[in-house]
Amino acid sequence: MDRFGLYIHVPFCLRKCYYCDFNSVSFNEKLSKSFLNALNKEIDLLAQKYNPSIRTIFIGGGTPTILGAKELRLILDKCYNSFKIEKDIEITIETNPGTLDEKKLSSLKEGGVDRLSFGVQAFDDDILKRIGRIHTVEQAVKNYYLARKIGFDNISLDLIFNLPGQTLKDWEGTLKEAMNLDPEHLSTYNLKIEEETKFYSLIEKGELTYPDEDLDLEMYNLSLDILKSFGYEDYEISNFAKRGYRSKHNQIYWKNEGYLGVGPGAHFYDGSGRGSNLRDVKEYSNSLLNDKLPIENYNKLSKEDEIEEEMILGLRLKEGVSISDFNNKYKRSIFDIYGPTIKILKTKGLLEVNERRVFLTPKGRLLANRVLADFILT
Amino acid sequence: MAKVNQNNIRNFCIIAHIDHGKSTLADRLLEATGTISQRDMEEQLLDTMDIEKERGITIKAQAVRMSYQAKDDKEYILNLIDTPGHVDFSYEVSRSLAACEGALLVIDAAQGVEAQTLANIYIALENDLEIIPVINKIDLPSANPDKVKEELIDIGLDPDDAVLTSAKEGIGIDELLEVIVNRVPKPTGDKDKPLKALIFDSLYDPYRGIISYYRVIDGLIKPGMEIKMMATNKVFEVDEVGTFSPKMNKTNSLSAGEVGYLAASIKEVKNAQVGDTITDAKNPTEEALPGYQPAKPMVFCGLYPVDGKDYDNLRDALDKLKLNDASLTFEPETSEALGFGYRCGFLGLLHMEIIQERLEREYKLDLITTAPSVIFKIYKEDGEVLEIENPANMPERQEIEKIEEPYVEAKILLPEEHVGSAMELAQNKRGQFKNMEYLDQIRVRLTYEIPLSEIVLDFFDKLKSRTRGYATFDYEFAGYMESDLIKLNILVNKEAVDALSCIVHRDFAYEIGKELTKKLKEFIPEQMFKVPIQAAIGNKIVARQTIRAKRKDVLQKCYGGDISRKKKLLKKQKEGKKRMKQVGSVEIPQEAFMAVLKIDDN
Repeated sequence: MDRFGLYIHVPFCLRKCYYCDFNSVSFNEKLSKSFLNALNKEIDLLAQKYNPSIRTIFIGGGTPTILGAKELRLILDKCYNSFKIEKDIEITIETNPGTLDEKKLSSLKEGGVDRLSFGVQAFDDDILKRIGRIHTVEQAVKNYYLARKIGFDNISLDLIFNLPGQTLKDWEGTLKEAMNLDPEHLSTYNLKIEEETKFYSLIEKGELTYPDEDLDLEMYNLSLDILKSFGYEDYEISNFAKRGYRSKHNQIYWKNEGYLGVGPGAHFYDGSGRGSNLRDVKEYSNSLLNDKLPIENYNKLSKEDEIEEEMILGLRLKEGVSISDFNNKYKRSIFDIYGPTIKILKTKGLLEVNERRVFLTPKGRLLANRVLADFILT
Repeated sequence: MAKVNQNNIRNFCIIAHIDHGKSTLADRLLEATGTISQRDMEEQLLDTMDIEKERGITIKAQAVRMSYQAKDDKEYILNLIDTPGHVDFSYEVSRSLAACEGALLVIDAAQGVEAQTLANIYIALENDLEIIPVINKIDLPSANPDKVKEELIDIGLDPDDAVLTSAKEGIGIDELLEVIVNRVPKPTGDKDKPLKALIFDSLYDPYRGIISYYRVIDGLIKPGMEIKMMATNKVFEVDEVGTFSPKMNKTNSLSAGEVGYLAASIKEVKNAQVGDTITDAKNPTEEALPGYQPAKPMVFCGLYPVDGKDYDNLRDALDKLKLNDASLTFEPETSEALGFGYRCGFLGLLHMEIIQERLEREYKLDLITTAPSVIFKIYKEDGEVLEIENPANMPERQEIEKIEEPYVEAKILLPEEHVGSAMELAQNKRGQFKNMEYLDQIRVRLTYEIPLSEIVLDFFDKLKSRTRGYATFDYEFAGYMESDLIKLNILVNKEAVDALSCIVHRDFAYEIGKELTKKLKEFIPEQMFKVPIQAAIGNKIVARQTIRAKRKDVLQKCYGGDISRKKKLLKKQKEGKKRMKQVGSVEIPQEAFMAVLKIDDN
């Protein structure tokens, strides 16, 4: 039996945020029903196919909490009934502060969810409005304390920086507010303009400019300073955690371990290949109505693929890639494959090597793309 | 094979503006004569190299022999010779045409007469070819054959001679075959005279050596015969002769009027060059055919492997290409910035690009190419004369008495309305006006003397854009002339990069320095530190730009385990790096070495 993480994609939102190009459509009752039926079916089929032992569950979206407490519980129960669940499983759900209430939170807690990821994004109502969020700062704070009251003791906040009109001072304010809430974990991402977002079309029309790179850097450095001073470890480029509260689920991705994915457009890595589901909710549901896994594409990975992915994912972690784990996994020395690359990156001050690990220097983290590109083999 | 009656041979080529349907028409002729079945037809059979198919141009000439049962019940041999279509290869084109008696001039029924149509007529007339206008693509909704016919009158052709076709739909092909038989003159050679044959192309076969493509003018050629190449006086024994169907088809002999190939264990193409005359070594003809020119490279550039380990592979690859390409030259050179490489000589820019592309594709080499240059003659104070094809080798200014550069006589053929802007361009490029003549009511021929160094940069592209594609352009070497030239050094991060230096006219040096540094700033990606780019004459900085430092470059999260996008981006970044050369502490991409080509005029 193979051990996997499980990602569950809920492809619905009340409306699309202006920066978002994830797979989501506006919520409607009928579509949601067929989605939930399909999801059940998909879980059955995956249980048959892989007979997996599930290490983590991450319910993301979209806006998973747009579904009712009952629906969310049914999804979780379906997982418990169909899969072998490991004892120390971590179960995270992404929440939009505008879609929470006490009943829903309690029900999730009862249903086994032990980690909440709060999509706060910014502690500034003007900015929230400007980026198309449906909630206010007040709702976020209120629901955060509600979750605490109900007993959630592992909460992560999602924040975005370098948003349109956001100054360094604004960002500092958001970080300080976040510190006041004292979460166990934070993810901070810089705004990146993706095609097929509202922001992209605004840029095309000349009503918005691309985020400034220097400001981006200052904001990132400020996050490092503030969060580290409050005792958070920058265990991954964009992720910070108090001791013992790293995200188990995300570490599966970074450590290049297996995970299954259910829901429209969900991605998965089953240990020998990567694939993804049909993105369209109807096509996804129809496939499952016909008892067919809704896989849109699947590619077996070559040895080179696996090795380069091991590196480009692993190097995002502060501790980097373990030399001995690499040797054991690929039966080759990391230096056989990347010796010259590692040497050059070392002289440039972007990469560090000790007896046990290969990891990015602080400068290397800022220029991670350039470093990681050098590890591409294919 | 039955003895061929010379009266029943027709040798012709197809000339056309790009995209007017030359290759498709050729394919239809092959089909209609049963030379090749539709099933076996790979689209556009005659362009065999990948690069030719992709670019839609013909680089190597090809020939094919068709047999056709005409309406007069006689069987005819039709030899179609396909020609290259670019000014770099104008010599090769002229030799291919010299092997024919007629030319099909293909004109798009919707587009009408275009720039290259005019140039093609001109070349065909120079070779005394019978021109058969073919108005093609008459199936298009926008086709207007009557208008094209009127245009034919304007350019001096008889519209009643035109054949209307749609190569795509197979319309008019039978009629065209009859017209070829009736209108293309039969070959006039004498098969009883000593052998005289014109080489119009060749290819290299690893087992049989050079395969020459030729047209027999007089006499007969057969295996076992000793032949002599008249330009080099080299003698070879013929192993095999044959025709093209279009695959090679062995025959017993070929005689006057016929087109075919021969193999004679010729190891190097320089011993069987295009334009040379083949004769019988024991019974030679008195005079070689006119028009032979030994291949002579005009444009030079440095080719350097991105990875120094590929140096030997690059040499092997050049050796192999050279076997089949008499005009390619190369010798080792060393650049402080780029390491070990080769200075290579080419016919022109397109030839250079093609060689570079073939090295990268067929031999899997990652290369850095420096900007094209010409041979400068440097007269030193101490009396020594240097020939310099690499700006980096220019001696110190105080050692130089004078510099001469090659000039060409450029002939620009264009409609009257574009004369003004073409003259302006020629003047900007240091051209000296020589002559202007009206060839008819609309066509004008301008003659200029222009430094070759200006031509090799991007003269033709600029001419085309200024005249909306209507100008055609040809040039021949006109000799060396003294010029007030100086070396412009380029410094990247305060260090002179020899491979970026160029030789320019003093009057333009500041302007070029300014524009070149601007372009380099565009092409060189941000590094981890600030990089100044300077242009200098001697020690004097004449222009400066600064590339800002890249301080942050981090990817978004891989949401829900979707790493495909991230990987795609990293791959793209990696791909870009492949074509970069580490010069000192700065990574310089291939485009930067060509930046001087990208400078806007005006």
